[in-house]
Parts: sequence; C-alpha cells; structure tokens
Amino acid sequence: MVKRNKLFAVAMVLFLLVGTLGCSSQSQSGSGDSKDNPKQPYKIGLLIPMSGDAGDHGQIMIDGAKIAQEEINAAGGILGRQVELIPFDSAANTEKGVTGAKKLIEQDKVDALVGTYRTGVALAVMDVAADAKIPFLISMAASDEIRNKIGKDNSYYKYVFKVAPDVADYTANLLPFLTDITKAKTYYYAAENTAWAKQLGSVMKKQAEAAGIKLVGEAYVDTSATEFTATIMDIKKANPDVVVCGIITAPGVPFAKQYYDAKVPVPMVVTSGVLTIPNTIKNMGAQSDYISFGLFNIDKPITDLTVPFWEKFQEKYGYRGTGFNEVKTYDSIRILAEAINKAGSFDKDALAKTLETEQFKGLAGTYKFDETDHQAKWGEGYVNGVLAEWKDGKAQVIWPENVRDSALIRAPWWK
Amino acid sequence: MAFIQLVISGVLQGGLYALIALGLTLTLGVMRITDLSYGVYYTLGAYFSFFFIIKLGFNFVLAGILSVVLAFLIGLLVERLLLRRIISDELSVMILTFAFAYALEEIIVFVWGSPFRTLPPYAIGTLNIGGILLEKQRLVSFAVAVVLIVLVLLFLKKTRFGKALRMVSQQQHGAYLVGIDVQLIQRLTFAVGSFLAASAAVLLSPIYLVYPAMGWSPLLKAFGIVILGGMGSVKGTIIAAFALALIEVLSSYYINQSLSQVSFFVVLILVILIRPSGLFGNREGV
Amino acid sequence: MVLEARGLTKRFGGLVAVSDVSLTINQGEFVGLIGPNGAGKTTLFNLLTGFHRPSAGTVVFKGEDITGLKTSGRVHLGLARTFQIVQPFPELTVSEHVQVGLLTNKRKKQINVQQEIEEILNAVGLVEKSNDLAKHLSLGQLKRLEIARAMATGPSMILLDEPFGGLGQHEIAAIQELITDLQHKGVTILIIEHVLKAIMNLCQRVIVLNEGRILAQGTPEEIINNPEVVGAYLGKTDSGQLKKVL
Repeated sequence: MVKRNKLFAVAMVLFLLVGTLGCSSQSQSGSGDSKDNPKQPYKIGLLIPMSGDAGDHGQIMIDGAKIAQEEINAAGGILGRQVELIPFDSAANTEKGVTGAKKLIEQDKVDALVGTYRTGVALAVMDVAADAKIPFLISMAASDEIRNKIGKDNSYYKYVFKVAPDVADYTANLLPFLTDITKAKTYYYAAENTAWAKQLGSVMKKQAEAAGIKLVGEAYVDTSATEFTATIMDIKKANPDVVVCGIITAPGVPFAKQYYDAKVPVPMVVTSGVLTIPNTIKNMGAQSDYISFGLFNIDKPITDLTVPFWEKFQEKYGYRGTGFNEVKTYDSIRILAEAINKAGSFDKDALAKTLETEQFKGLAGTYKFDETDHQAKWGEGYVNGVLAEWKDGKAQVIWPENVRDSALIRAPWWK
Repeated sequence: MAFIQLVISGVLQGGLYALIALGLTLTLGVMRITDLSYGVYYTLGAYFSFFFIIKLGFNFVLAGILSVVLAFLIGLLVERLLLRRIISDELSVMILTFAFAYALEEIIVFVWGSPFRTLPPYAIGTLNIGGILLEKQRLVSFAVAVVLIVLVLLFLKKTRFGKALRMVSQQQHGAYLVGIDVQLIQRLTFAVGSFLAASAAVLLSPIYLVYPAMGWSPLLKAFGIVILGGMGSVKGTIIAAFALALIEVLSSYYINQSLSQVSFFVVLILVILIRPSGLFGNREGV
Repeated sequence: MVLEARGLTKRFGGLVAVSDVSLTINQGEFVGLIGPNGAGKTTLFNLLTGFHRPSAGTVVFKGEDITGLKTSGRVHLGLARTFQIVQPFPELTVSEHVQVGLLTNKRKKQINVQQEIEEILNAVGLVEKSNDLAKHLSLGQLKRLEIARAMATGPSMILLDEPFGGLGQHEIAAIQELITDLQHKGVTILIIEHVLKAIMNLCQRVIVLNEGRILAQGTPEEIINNPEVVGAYLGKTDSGQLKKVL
C-alpha cells in the first residue's frame, strides 16, 4: 500500500510538472472600467496558444501584435486612447479558449478580442463574443466552417470578422504556380491523411479544373510515415507537370529529402507548413533547393506597411517571422484601430458597419470583408499571397512579378 | 522493377526498425515491463546529436557517440531512480513510464523549444544501379544499424553479460538461484535499450525531423514489431521489423498510400488471433 | 550455527505473512519446515534467500548479517534454494544448467568443470539427459535438475521448497536419496514439504509455522504428539489421526 501511494505521488508530481510547464503564461490584468473613457487604454484581448502542441506560435503572434500596438500608440492611439494588449494562453484548446474569452471579457473588461489559432476554438469563442457583444477579429483559424457560421446568422455574429485566410485562399495562393509560372496542364497532389489536407485537396481540384488543369494522381500518406519510395514511384508513373504538396507536418521533411534525392523531374510547390519555415530549412542543405511554396506575406513592398514591419520585426526580435502568425495578428489589430478611427466613435454598431463597408490596409494587402459572411476577400486588389522558392537556404520570391527576386529557378533534372 | 525498388527500400527501412525494436525487446524480455517511455531515448538521442552537431559543431561520429553514451547513462539513472522500486508492479510501471515520457517531452520543449529542427545529411545523393535508386544517407544508416545489431547479437551469444542476460530473460528466478545479480543485469539491459533507441535516432535524424513528440511513433511501431515477433524473442523481432517495413512500402504502392500503417496493424491483429504468442514467441526468452 | 533469523516479519499491505519469526539452524542439521497452507513457509524462504526484504528483523548467515544482501550475493556466500514450482532455463541443456551454477561456485578455480558437472549429474541421475534441453524434461527430472543447479553453486546450506510435490513414489524415493547424500556431504538442509511422511524420517528437527508464527519445534516425535500442531493441522481431530497422516 505504501509503495503504491508513493508511486501515485510521484506520478502526480510528474503530471503537475507537465501542467505547470505547459501553462506558464497568464496575463496581468488591468483593473477598473475602461469603457469609453479617453484616459483609459483601449484593451484588446489576445487569445493565442502559448502552450500545448501549437505553443510555439503564440510568442510570434505577440511579437507581431506589439509592433501594431507601438505604431498605433505612436500615431496617437485609437481616437486618443492608447492600445493595451492582454494575452491569454488558450493552448489551442477549445475549453481553455472559452474560459479565456470569458475571463478577458468579464474580468479584464477588454474592448475587443483578437486571435485563435484553431478553428474549434474560434467557433466556440464566436458565441461568447457574440453574446457579450464584443468585437472579435479571427486572425488565424482558417476553416470555412467559420464563415459559414457567420453567414447563416450575421446579425447575431455582427461583430465577428474573419481576417484569417479561407481554405480556398490557401490553394488560391498556390494556383499561380501552376497557371503562370509552370503553365502546367496536369498536377499530382501528395498530402497527409488528415481532414485539413483532404479539404485543401478538394478545393485545389476545383480551382485547378476551373483553370483547365487536371489532377492526374493523389497520395495521402500517414502522418507518421518516414519512407516515401511508393509515393515517389507513383508520382513518376503519373508523370504530372507539377506536384502540389500538402504534407505540412513532420513527414514533410523526409518526403522532401527523398524527393530531392530521387531527382524527380517535376517542380513541387508546398502549401503552408513545415517546409515553409526557415528554421526547418536551415540545416537541410541542398535538399531544400527547388522547393517552391506559398506564403501569406514576406518582406517585399506588398503594401507600404510591409517592408518597414519586417525590418522592425527583425531588428526588435532578431528572428524572421513566419509570414503568417505575426502578420495576421498585426493586421487584425491595425484593422480594428483603423475601423474605429474611421467610424469616429467607439460605438460597436458603428464599428461593425465600418468593418462591413470600408477597406483597410494591412501587411498582406487591402482587407475588404464580405458583407454576408465577413470573410476577408482574397485576390488581386485585396489580400494576396506570394510564392517563393528555397535556394541555398534562402527564400527567393518568384511571384507576384512586381516584387519577385527572380523567375523560377529550375533544377537541372526537371523535364 | 518497381517491385525490386520497393523491396530494397523496405529492407533499408527494416534495418532501422529492427534497431529501434531490439532495445524494446531486450527490456521486455529481461525486465518483464511495458516501458512506455522507450520513445524518450529516441527523442533524446536526436536532440543530443542536434545539440552536438549544430550548437557545438562536432562531427557526426563524435556527436553520435556522445549522444548514445549519454542516453545509456540516463537509462542507468532512470532504472535506478524511477523503475527499480516499482518494477514488480506492472500497472505502476506503465503509469510511471507514460508520465515520465510526457514530463520529459515538456522538459525538452522547455530546454530546446518546440519548433521542428533538421540535421544535415552526412551522405548526400543517390546511387543509381540499373535504374534502382539507393539514397546514400539511408544506405549508410542501414549499414551502421546492421553492424550494431550484429554486435548486439554477438554480445548476447559470446559475453558473460550476454549469457547472464539471456538467462534472466529465460527464467528470472533460476538466474537468481545461480547467483546472477538479476537487478544489475536488468539495469544494464535497460541502459542498453536506451542506447539502441538513441542510436536509431542518431542514424535517422539526418533523414527525418527533430521535434519533442518524435518518440511516440517509433514507440508504437516498436511495440507492434515486438508483439508480432513474439514478445522478447530477438530473432522474431528482427524478422518482424523487416516484415513491417516491407508491408508498409508494398501496401502503400500496390494498395493505397494512406493504408501503410493500417496494413501492418491488420497483419498484427491477424497474427495475434491465429498465434497469440506472436511469430516466434513461446516464452523462450532472448 | 549456520543460519539465524531474528524477529523476521513481512507485511504485504495489511496482511502479515511472517510475524516475528526467530530460528537457528546448526551446521549439518536437517530441518523440516511444515505448516498448513498459507502459514508463511514460502515467504519465510523468500526472506531468508533475499527474494523479499523483511519489514523487520535480521538474517545472519555464517556469522554475517545478510539482511541487506541481494539474492545473488547470498548464493555466492553458499546459501542455495530450490522453488516449489521448478524454474529451469528452458533453452539451456541439463549440463549447461550445472555449468552456469558452477560459475558462481567459489571453488571454481580449483575444480575441473567437466568432471564436476559429471559428478553432480551422476548424483542427481541425469547423466543420460545431459545434452537435453530443459524444456524437454519431465517434472521429476526438472526437480532433480533444480537441485543439481543448486548443488553446482557450492552451497553450505540448501533451502528446498517442496521437492517432492507432484511426484510419484518412485521419484520421491530417488530425491530422498539425493537429499540424504547431500546431508552426508555436510550440507545443511532446510526443507518445506507437504508430504510429511517423506521428511519425518529424514529430519532431525521440525519447525511448525502457523499464521506466520512459529507454533512449535522439536523432534518429529514431539511434533506429532503436540496437540497445538494437531489442532492447527486438523482442526478438532485427535492426534491419532495426525499420526496416520504422518
């Protein structure tokens, strides 16, 4: 009995240790009612993952948000009120997200919410925000479930807007690689066996077919796969003009390495994920060469905010952003500030009206929200992405043409 | 042609699976425990070699040796400090090793952060032998894995420690009765298991990724292999490892790529239904 | 005095399996340990040989306190045992069993291993089986193999746990003879046995364990006539009936 008790004590200590290390970041809250008092700061609650499996994204988001805060405050704040950020660790977990939203709204009395990395968290927090009539800008969660939910009842979700790209935007981001850059007639989709990658695959197929490009083969590999001979042989057999890669987690790296070593004569473009992160690429050597990939933002003059932002980011934090987390958080906060300034009051209905009708400048282009489902529009003149290619460990921008570093660099063994 | 290519790729992969599963089979046979933290030593091996190669700039050989030696020492400590007291209580061992694996994963996140890391390959390029492609990196890793496996087998057959280990695995009480220090053998075997898991990681990290949760997938595969091979049979484990790799690569080409993992577990379930003790298991020990 | 236990106690959770047992065994003595099922006999063996740590008490062997010593260490000191349920190495041959036992034998520097193996196998009557794998032996052969392996470690004392259990008359006689030989060679013997008849003729002294405590000890004759022992064994029946059983 004693022995057993001791064991459970040890086990409990270990579990607690996991818990404490996991949720080390709580916010310090400001007190007092801030509503509409010009002396009081304008409080924005950031619901972001700082622990759990998406934990490393949170800090990047905060780093992006801080730059937006500084810029807005330096320019006089939001109608004279300084911006204050109150982060909460949602751990990319629905339950914690809801708790966090309630805590931010009820205890910290925030004026608006920004964030959520996971769709599930966004879908739950939407209701909390709508009930409390708190503006909520969804910065990262992508699934089209979100805009469908807003579209079905947009008077209830009046203050919820989706800054994050839609699923279709992820693939629309890659499409110019097939249409403009390689003039492909066929493509092969190599992806992970996950709901997300399958969703991407079916949207991609629609967009490609609309552009007259045929899907000639697809592979959904297991997320724990490490050996891709079968996939590569299947690609060779299908002989497509382009490989679109939707392997965005761990197997992406061994796949890319094997793809390189096998000298498959077909250009490959990758959607967001492990192969688009500089840290991953850093030690891959030549094996990362000739991989093209879609990005939501990079340090090119996409709008006049973009290059200064990336310079500030690099200078302040000493690392490169991902082109997504920090960009979308920054843009969300800028949009919020710009909309209130444009509306000329802190009235929430005026804010909602402005968000629905006006356009807003961000790092990734011009934000214009759909009047029905509040999804930021994608494409020329709106928000748009870039395509880049890894060469010698550096991302060379290859699209759009007005900001590119070079044309597509062709591997010697491509057909 | 396609078939030959697939079989060769499967064999190369199988050698590494065998290396990973070998350590688990030894611990299982000698200690009679279900060690759910086995994957931790794989993860640690990868992080150690990342640290030595990228942060300290050591060469691969030195980094690899240091990594596996460290894993061996950690194995010794864990056995002594955590497992020894509860070794006879199967449930406690499972809970404790599971908790330990999670705690260590969080510690790794704390120390090294959670982003994906990569290591440069130490052999770049591909051999093309009559249309059959052989990646040099995988060839080198396979060769080293085979050498390690052969060394372990010789060690089991020839050395005094190896013989004692086999006796403990065959009959623990009997081993006590002839004066074998069973606890010492168990401790060393556990450390050898940690060493083998870490060496697999050293060989595979230039091919794969390094990240905190990387140990779970090899743990699952190693368990599948060990069960298929007959719980504690070295011969069975090695054969099952190659079988797993071949089933994965062949089924994903000829059936469906998303079924590569499923097909192995289907085979595993069938084998267990027909032969509950696995392919080579009748509790013969190592 | 070879072996001495003082105040040995073993608790498993709330259950006290062995309670404050003190006993001494003298050099060359042949002692029987009897008692009803669940009396704590095997637990006591486990405490004496180091398979269990006692909750309280000490064990002294040849003048040395071995309470904290591992089983392997006790074997090296010359304290051997067998198990009630045989524990052979299934994949080793009969002669290999003896060989591994000899590895721990303190005298191994001075002995001819081959000759020693032959002698031991001769003594236990397994010479013809010397190249057979243990997993192919019969129960009686395994029981003898178990003793052979214990003998090979060069013990000055052997603890035998039900060596006759599950055997026929013929096998029992063979093992009785084997044990008597051992005693003649000067090995001290402590034996647990259910087949009381088989040891009553051999033992110089019998210790009776009941509910974890020593109930009585004495010569076989004294034990048979001890009413407490009779009660423990047979409930309310008389000693005449016990005599019949014995």
